[in-house]
This record gives sequence, C-alpha cells and structure tokens, in this order.
Amino acid sequence: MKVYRDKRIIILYLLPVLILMGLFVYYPLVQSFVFSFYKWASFSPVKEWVGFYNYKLIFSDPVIWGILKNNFLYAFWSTIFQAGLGLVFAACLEEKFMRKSQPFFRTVLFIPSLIAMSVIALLWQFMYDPSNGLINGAIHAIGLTNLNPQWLGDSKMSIYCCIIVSQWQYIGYCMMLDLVGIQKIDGELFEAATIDGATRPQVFRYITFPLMKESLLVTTVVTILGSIKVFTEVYVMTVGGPGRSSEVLATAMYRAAFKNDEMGVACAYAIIIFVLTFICAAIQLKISRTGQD
Amino acid sequence: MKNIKRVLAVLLVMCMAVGLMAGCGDTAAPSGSTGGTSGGSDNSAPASDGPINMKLFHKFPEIGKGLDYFEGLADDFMSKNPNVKITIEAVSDEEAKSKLRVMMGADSQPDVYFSWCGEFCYKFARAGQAWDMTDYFNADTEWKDSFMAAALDPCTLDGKLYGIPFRLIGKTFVYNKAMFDERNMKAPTTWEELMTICQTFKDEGIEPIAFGNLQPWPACHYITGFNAGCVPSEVRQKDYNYATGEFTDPGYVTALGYLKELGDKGYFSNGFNSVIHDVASENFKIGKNPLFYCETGEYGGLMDQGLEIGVFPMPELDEKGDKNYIVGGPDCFMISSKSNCPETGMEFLKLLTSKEWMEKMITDLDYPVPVKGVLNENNANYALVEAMKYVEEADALINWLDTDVHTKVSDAYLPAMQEMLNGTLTPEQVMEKVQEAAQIVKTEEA
Repeated sequence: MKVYRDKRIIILYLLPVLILMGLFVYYPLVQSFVFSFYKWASFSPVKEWVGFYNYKLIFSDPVIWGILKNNFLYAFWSTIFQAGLGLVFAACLEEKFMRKSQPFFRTVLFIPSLIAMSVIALLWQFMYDPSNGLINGAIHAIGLTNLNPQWLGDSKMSIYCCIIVSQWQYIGYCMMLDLVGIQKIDGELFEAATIDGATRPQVFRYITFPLMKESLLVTTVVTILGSIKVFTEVYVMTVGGPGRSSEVLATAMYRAAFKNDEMGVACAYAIIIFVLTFICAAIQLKISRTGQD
Repeated sequence: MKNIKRVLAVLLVMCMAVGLMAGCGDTAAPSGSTGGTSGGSDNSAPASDGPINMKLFHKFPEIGKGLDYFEGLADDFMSKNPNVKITIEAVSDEEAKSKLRVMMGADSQPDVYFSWCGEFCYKFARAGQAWDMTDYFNADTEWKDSFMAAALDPCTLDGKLYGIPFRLIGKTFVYNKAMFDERNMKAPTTWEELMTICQTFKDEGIEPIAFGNLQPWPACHYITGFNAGCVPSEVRQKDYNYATGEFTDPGYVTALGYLKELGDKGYFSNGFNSVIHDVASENFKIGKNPLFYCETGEYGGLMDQGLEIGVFPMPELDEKGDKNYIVGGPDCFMISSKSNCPETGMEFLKLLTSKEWMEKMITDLDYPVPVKGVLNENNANYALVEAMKYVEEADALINWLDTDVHTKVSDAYLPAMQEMLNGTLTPEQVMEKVQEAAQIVKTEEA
C-alpha cells in the first residue's frame, strides 16, 4: 500500500494511541515518580518534599525483604507451573491418544481463568477454613484426624496457599497459549522423529520444546510480570497476613496508600514494581533474542 | 485522490480521538447555591434559588437493610425539599475507608459522608476536609439537647463539632442461652468466672469463643478493652495522641497477655487467624461456639432465626486502668468543607436523627442510636435493650483502638497481634513494633 510509505500518515494513525498512552500510562508513571519524593496523604492539601525518605523508609524496614521474597516465590512457582507444566499439559493434549478428549480437558482447564480472581479467592478462602473448609474436611475424611493445618492462618503457609490458587487458575490459560504454539509446528517433524525411533519424551525434548521457544517466552514473561504485580488473591484471602507473612509489593502499596495515608510511600512502591517488571522483561527479551533466530 | 485519502485519514483519526475522549466528560449538573439560615426544624432545606445536588456516601450497602433505609430517608428528604436531588453511594466497611480517602484526594468529595469517630474523623478535620458544624448545631438547642453527651465528644476536635452521631455501637459478649441453661451457667461477672466457663466448654470438646481474626480488627476490639483496663487512663490518652505517643507503659504488655491467654488456652475457635469475622458470627449462630464478642449492631443478625442470646459486658480486670467501661463509640456523618450545600446536609442529618428515623433505624436495622429516649422495649430487641443498659451505666465509652490511634500505629499493632496469637511474637515484641511506629509518627509529624 502506497499510503503506508508516507511517514506522516503513519504518525497520524499512531497519534490517538500515542496520546492515550501518554495520558494514561506515561504521564501517571512520571507523576508517580515525582510524587514518590513527597510526603502526602490523598486528602491532605499540601505535599511536603522529603527527597528519598520514602525509599529509605521502605528499605530500612525488614518487612521489605519478606515482601520481595514472597514476590520471588510467586514468580518462581508460577514459572514452574504455569510456563513449565502448562507446556507439558499442552504437549500431552496434542498427543494422538488425547486428541478425542482434548476439547474436554482444554475447556475444563481453561474455565478457571475466566472467573474473576476475587470470586475465586473467596471460594478458596472458604475451602481453606480449618473448621468448615473442604480441604481439612477431606484430610479428616481419609482418617488423618490429628492433622489440622491452619492454612491461611499459618504464617509459614499463607503465601503458598495464595500461590496455589494462582496456579490453579492460570495453568489452563498458559496451556492454551502453548497449545496454539504446538499446533503451528510442522507435523512432518514429529512424523520424521517418530520414524527415526524417537520416544515421546525425546520428541518433546528435541522438537516441541525448542520450537516452542517463542510461546514459552510469552508465557514466562506474562507469569513473571503477573507475579510481581500480584494483588487480588493475596488481598482477598489474607490481607497480607497473618502479620505481614504473605504481604507482596502490590498489597504493601495498597496498605501504604489507603490504610496508612502515605501516598508518597505508595508511589515509591509503584516505582519499585515498575523497575522490577521493566528489568525482568528486558532480561527475558535479551536472553531469548526474540526475532533473531 | 491522494489529498482525499489524507483528508479522510485525518478525519478518521479525529473521530477516533473524540470518540475515545467522549467518556471523560463531566455530566454532573452544577450545584445550586444554598446560603440559607440555620435552625429550621421542619427538615426543609434552606431557601435556594436553584436545584441542589447533594451526594451522600455511606457504608451500608445491604439490600433490604441499610441500603433501603438510606434510600427511604433520601426520598423522604427530597419529598420535603423538591429542589434537592440526593445521589447515594454505598460501599462496604473496608472499601469505605479507602474510597473516602480517594474521593477526598480526587476532589470529588461527597457532600455528606459516613465516618468513624475519633482519629479517623479528626484527620479529615485537620486536613481541612470537614465542615465545622458547631454554629449550625448550637443554633438548634432542641436538636442539640436530644443527643447523649458522650456521643458528641468523639466527633469534637478542639471544641469544634465535625460530625453528627447517628449510631452508637457498644461491644459486649453474647452467649447462647440454651447452651448456658443446659449447664446451669450464668453470665460471668469476673474474668475468673469467664475463664471457668470457657474451660468447662473446652473440656467438653466445644470451642468456647467464636473468633475470626483473618482481617485483624476483631483482636483490636479485644485489646481496646484490655488496654483500657490495664493502662491508666491519662497514660493511654497521651499515648493514643499521635504527637505524644510512646506506648512504654507495662500495662500494654499485660493487656496483650490477656488476649494471648485466651488464644493459648484454646478458648478461641479453631484456626481463628484463617477465618473472617462473618464466618465466626455464623459459627456462633449455629451453636458451634457458645460465646461471641460482638457489636450491638450485630445482635439482629444473630437472632433473626430464633436464637436466644444473653448479653454481658467484658468482665472488669483487676489492673491499673479504667473500671466500668464499655468498648465502642458512635458512628457519624460529616460534611465536606468543599460542599456547596452544607446547610442542606445539616438539615438532612437533622432528619436522620429525628425521632421517626431513629426509631426506624432501631426497628429496621437493629442499630442502637445516640438520641436520648428513643430506644425502648417496644422498638428494640431484648438483647439490645439489655446491652444499652450497660452502655448507659458505663462510666466511659472506649473508642476502637484502630480508629483512635494514628493509622501507622494501628497498622503496626494489628498485624503484630495476629503474629502474637500465632505464637511467632511475644507481647513484648508486639509492643516494640508499636513503639517503633509511634516514634516514626512522632518524628514525621514533628
């Protein structure tokens, strides 16, 4: 199309989205950065310049290391389950013997990702209830009556309880992305490998996995960035507790903004989240060298 | 041809941009000016030339309960004042705390808004977000005298009134009468008697006290009372003031010890840090736990399926603090300092606190009210009448700790108490965290 060679036209077409992105993404980002150097509450009429005090406050509180650890755990397990196991599930569903039942499993595994996280978090909260919950009920039903895990109420378990819910919800979503990727691989490669005597795990290791690099990158980026920004499940299920044991960056930001009236600290948390997501995305894109292969 | 394409392209781009921006317009009609005089007692808004749009914000979104009550109230006010249009926004308890802050910051303040009393209300007043009601309120002596004096104090800062109380909440124990009668038990009057009752139930394999502390405010209500009982009043008041708070009195550790004792002895329900307060309430309702420490406003919900309950206040502690007190406080409505119609708002609140609507609040919502001589056996359930006797006889009403101290202090206190109940912190370590937070607040505010 001749019209697309005219740079001015291209710029003109891009203008609405650039304006909106600038207005609703980059302007608030810059504003958050500036506001993170002030002490202010959402309802206070004055903003007081405090320099790096808000960042100092965050990093001088030992709670921050627990928060970062929780986000790291979230990212680690999400990568293993959503990006890793999601791919294995997708490969399994693409096997010949699963073809007939594939639509059923695809639907069953994908449906959780369509439900609002707040609803899911509430449901799991009831399931984790030590007295009336389904999980402890099942444990007691199989005869382990002495076991009485406190789940969300246990400082050591609460973050893992939240992580499990995320995996349960999104593993099907990542599997769907991977399934589309696998279906795009040339079938002749699988046939050739099978004729050469490759076992199914070998086909997965040497054909599916390398050719799924792009798809795997997408799921890994999505899950890691999602783990840094995670909020709803933790906020609904534990409110960051007991104590601060399941606190993550986003809940800490919310706590600072809307509970402690420290908007400056909340902006500093927002910038930390931005920097971390930016670094992770940059590293992942660099490592994968997307588009060069 | 090329030019036509360019023109079309430009037009398309403009249409897209305009279309996307269309949703950002402000469609609100301008508020009319008010400028009336004070003192009208017929709940009609002050004279005004134009229409008045008033925004009301409250935290009672339950359909068939609070939502209907406030809609009915607004309709009543609008029928008496045809030039006033009231827009209502209702969100739940926790959301109300954050949404109010956001609305204030975004300059979209509601004209009349719900607030907890004490520090929660004071910080809006200090930030210049609350309208000073003193003159308007004092001008109508009949209205002013209808309130219990104790209910007005927590809405007053430096002698200025910033909120009109409309609900008076007290915290008491309720017990399952049938379960108590089966064992020939009576409501305890001392801490030792309470412990004996709890132990008796525990020995029978029944978890004595329904307690859901996943959101940590229920523990805060216990410690509000224990602090009042263990810490001398003047020390506590000095510590609760953000400018002078130190929290070094050993009474605070003693108070935490009482809470810890309940947890350690297994008197709270199983997995209390995993359970929300509402689930604990249901557990009490179905007879799983015989005791429940709850607000007077919750009685109606507990009794709506015929459960018979008894009421007793938290037993007095043999410590250095107050005696004969009840934990609780009024809830109030405030008016934004940026409202175009503060007088209309005051007239609306006058209607809310009128005898007719206060009675309706008791009958429809089972909430006790701060207006004198309204609540009685004819309009309130027996438990509420009994509880209000304790409230009226009490020497002091101790405001909730989490709304009475600086938010940063309460944010250190509450999660640390969860950890203490889990056994990961000692009472001394909890207080160290509180002292640290109090020190930071003092430094920052200085």
